Parts: sequence; structure tokens; C-alpha cells
Amino acid sequence: MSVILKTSALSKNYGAIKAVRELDLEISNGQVYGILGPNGSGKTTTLGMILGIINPSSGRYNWFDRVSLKNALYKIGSIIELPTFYPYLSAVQNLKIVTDIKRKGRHNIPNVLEKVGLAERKNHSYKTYSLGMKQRLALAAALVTEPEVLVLDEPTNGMDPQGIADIRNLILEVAGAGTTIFLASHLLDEVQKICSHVAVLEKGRKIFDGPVDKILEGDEQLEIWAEDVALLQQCLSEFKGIEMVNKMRDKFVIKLQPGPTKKDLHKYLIEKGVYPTHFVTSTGTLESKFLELLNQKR
Amino acid sequence: MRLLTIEMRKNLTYPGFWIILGMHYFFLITVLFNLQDLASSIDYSDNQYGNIDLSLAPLLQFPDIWHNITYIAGFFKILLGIYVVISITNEFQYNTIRLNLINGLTRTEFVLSKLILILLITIASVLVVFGAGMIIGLKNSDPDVSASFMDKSIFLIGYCLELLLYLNFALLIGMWLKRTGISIFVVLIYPLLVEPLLRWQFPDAVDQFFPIKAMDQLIVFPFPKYIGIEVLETITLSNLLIAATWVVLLFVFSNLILLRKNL
Repeated sequence: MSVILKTSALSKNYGAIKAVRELDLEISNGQVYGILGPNGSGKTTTLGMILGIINPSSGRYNWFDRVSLKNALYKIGSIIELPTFYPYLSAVQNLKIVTDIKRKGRHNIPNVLEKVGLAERKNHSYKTYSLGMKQRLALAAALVTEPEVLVLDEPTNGMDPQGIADIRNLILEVAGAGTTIFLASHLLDEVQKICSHVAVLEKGRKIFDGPVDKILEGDEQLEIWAEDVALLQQCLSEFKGIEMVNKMRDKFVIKLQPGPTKKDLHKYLIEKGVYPTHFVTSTGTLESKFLELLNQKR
Repeated sequence: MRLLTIEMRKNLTYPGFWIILGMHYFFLITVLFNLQDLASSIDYSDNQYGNIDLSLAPLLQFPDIWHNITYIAGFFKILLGIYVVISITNEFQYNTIRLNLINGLTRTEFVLSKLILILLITIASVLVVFGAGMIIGLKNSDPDVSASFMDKSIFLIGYCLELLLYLNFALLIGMWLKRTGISIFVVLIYPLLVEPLLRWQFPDAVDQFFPIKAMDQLIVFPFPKYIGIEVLETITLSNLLIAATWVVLLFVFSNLILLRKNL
């Protein structure tokens, strides 16, 4: 896999405030890479630097094996914070400016406006659009040149649930086609649904990075229930190598310690005459893991 | 060519482009074509310019017409300056400069695209003044002097430099301050008040190197010659060079300012 973006000790100070500190990231071809963090953790500043609108205080970044930023940007589609377009121009006219800048053809404009659901309003001026429509145009602008890489900063900001679902599906579709995606968000649910890799930032510093699966590994829990509740509870307390996490009204949540497998537990219960009516594995959520990571640091 | 196309896409559909530039050319053409009437309609009984009575002066004959009309045309450049400021500060206020940069326009290319706008406005204005000068001059000159009709055409070059300097000054201010209102205020107040006050502290030998002075001294006030007072009826090479240097410097400063900005 070839490296798409690499940052080394990338830092940005605004006076005494260190917005981003010594950030090392490496994003490879085909990854959907999420950058997570609370508000003010440096996500947008990081994206601003790699897109050339914020000058780094120190450190470096390289796109596509050291091509110039300008040439790299021709191959990247991006959304940065709030959508910005010429208010008196229509969707089509705004997109023509984008394709001209990138030295790409205009043939894809009707197509991409159809895709984001703006075809009907394509000739109306941008200032008449709702926030959701502005976001859709921003995504259209990012996609119009069929880029190799998408850089998205809070792409569903200010959208309604339908819009969020539309955008998410579109991102998954694009990712499925092999486009590398670098996404900043504070919506953990969004990142968990879309991303293959994450980096977690806090106060400008990276506190974790790796595949999403790996973050959630070891967080596997088992939900279990049977008609004979008392016997189930007794068996669970006797079985070695499990930890009761939560007793709920309609299920027990347990965690298996290293050693016994789910199969061992199931077999044991049957032997004891307990027939589980509910036996479900649940992975932890990114949210719980994320809060755990932040708390560890404090 | 790409930068020109991009800049035209931004401007040609912007209502302000047609309104402000339309006003400029309308006022400019109207005044130039009625110059003699206007000159006659002024009440000269209370004139602070040393009793220059222009009502009968041959303002519109070749080759003097070039000096006179380029001098008059210079007053209207303020509208052009305001438009250049707006076209730059809009990019900051709408944040569309980001749209340009994240899609691969470099900061220098962005400033160059604004320079193209300035060049187009300047060329259009010089052509309008040249065209008006030809028409008015042919109408008002004796046929026998028409042989020397382009004698003072250096003033067209002076007018061109005057606009380039002023509009690059507007570019710099817009790039630096980013906000429309304050930028227009500075573009109006600096030449009228700030620089004259600054110049007042310096001897004449230094004065000529200030940017607005460099612009103003290109085309000197021509009318005293009609009452026999000698005025400079050409543009000295040194004045041309000082102004041209400022054009380059103002553009370079604009670029440097943008290169250092976080957007």
C-alpha cells in the first residue's frame, strides 16, 4: 500500500496556544481514516495545514510521495468547516470555478449534482440555499473532479437526519470505489460507521491511532438470558473466567476473560441444564472507548 | 488564460461589477465629452487657482487634449479602486479564498488573478480615454495641427501607470485588512490625509518617492498654462520609473502579505 499522506512533527501555535503539537500521521491508499477529538482539539487546524490554508509553525507534511502541494490538491477533493461559495453564483457556476482551478473537465458537473440531490436547484444562486443544501454543494465540489483522496471536515454539520444518512451512504459508496478518505468529526457514531482507521486528538496531541477494530478489540461483551434466571446466575458465578459487567432487567452483560471461549461457556450452560434464550456478542462502542482514552490521559 | 477565465467567472455575474464599473465609465465619458461646456459653466469670479479662466481656453485641441483629459480622468479612478477593494475583500468575507486554495490555486496565482482584473480594468479605461480623446480632438482641432496629434500621448502612458499604481494600492489594502468597509475607508483617506501629513515631515527631495505623490506627479495640473504660467508638459523619465517601481512593489507586498496569512 502506498502512502498518501504523511505528517512529521506537524505543529501549529497561535501565540501561546498550541493548537497542534508534533503530530505524526500516516494515511495509506484506500483507508478511510477518521480523526477524532473534542471541539478545539486541533482537527480543523490539522486539515487546514495539510490543505495549505494554514501555515504550519513547524514540522512537515507530504502528499503522494512528495509531489508539490498544488499538484496534490488537484487530486484531492475537500470540505473544510462551513461551506464557502460565491453567493451570487449558481451551483453550476461555482463548480465551474472548481474544475477550472483543478484544470479538469466540466463534464461531471450535472452528474455530481444529481448524486448529491441538487439537480433541481442547480441554476439557483447559492445564497438561496439552506444549510443542508450548502453542505451538499460542498460535497459536490469535493467529488466533481473524481479525486483520488477526499478530505472531509465535519461533512454532516448542520444537516437533518435524512441528509446525514444520504451523505454517509455517498461517502461509503465513494470509499467502496477505492477512494482514500480522511475525515474529521466529533460524531463518534459517524466515524465508527464509516472509518477503518482512527487517530484520536486531545489538545492538539495524538493520544491514539490504529485500526478501528483494534481499538474495540478486547471490548467484546456477551449478553445472555435464560428462562431460569436464578440457575443462570448461579452457573455464571461458578464458571471460571468471566466477569459480570451488568445485571439488567432482561439480560446479563458479561465479559469473557482470556482463556475460555464463548463456545466453552455455552457448552457448560447446556450441561447444567440452562438453555439460553438470548446469547449475543456486542462490541463496545467507539464512544465508550473514546471517553476511556480521554479519561486515562487526565 | 486559466486565471483569466476563473477571474471572469467570479466578476461577470457579480452585480457590483456592472454597477460600479458602469458608473465609472458613464461619469468618465459624460464629463470628457462635455468638458468644454463644463469649463465654461464654472464661475471664475472667485477662483482660488490664480484666476484661470478656462471658458475660452482651447482645452480640447490636439495635442494638449491628452494632458487635459488624462488629468481629468484621473479623478474618476476612485470608483475603480473601490471595486478592486470589494473584489478582494469579498473573497475574505465569503471565505471563498479558501475554496480557491484548497482546490489547488496557489496564493501567488490568486494574487495574479487579481492583477489580471486590475490590468483589464486599466486597459479598458485607457482605451476609453484614448477613444474619447480621438473623437473629441478630431472635432475640435484645426486640420493643420493634426499632424502632431499624438505629440503628448505620453500622458496616456502616465494615466495607465496612475491607474496601475492606484489599483495595486487598493489590492494591497484589501489583501491586508480583509474587511470591506475599513479597506475602502483607508483607500480613500490615505491619499487625501495620511500621506500628505506624512510628506509634510519630509523635505521635497524625499517627498517624490511616496506612493501617492509618485502617482500624482505623473500628470501635473495642466491649466495654469492657459494664463501663461509654465507647467511641465511631459512626464519625466524619473517620475515614470518611480511610479513603475511602486506598481511592482505594491504587487509584491500584496503577495507577501497573502503568503504569510492563515486563512
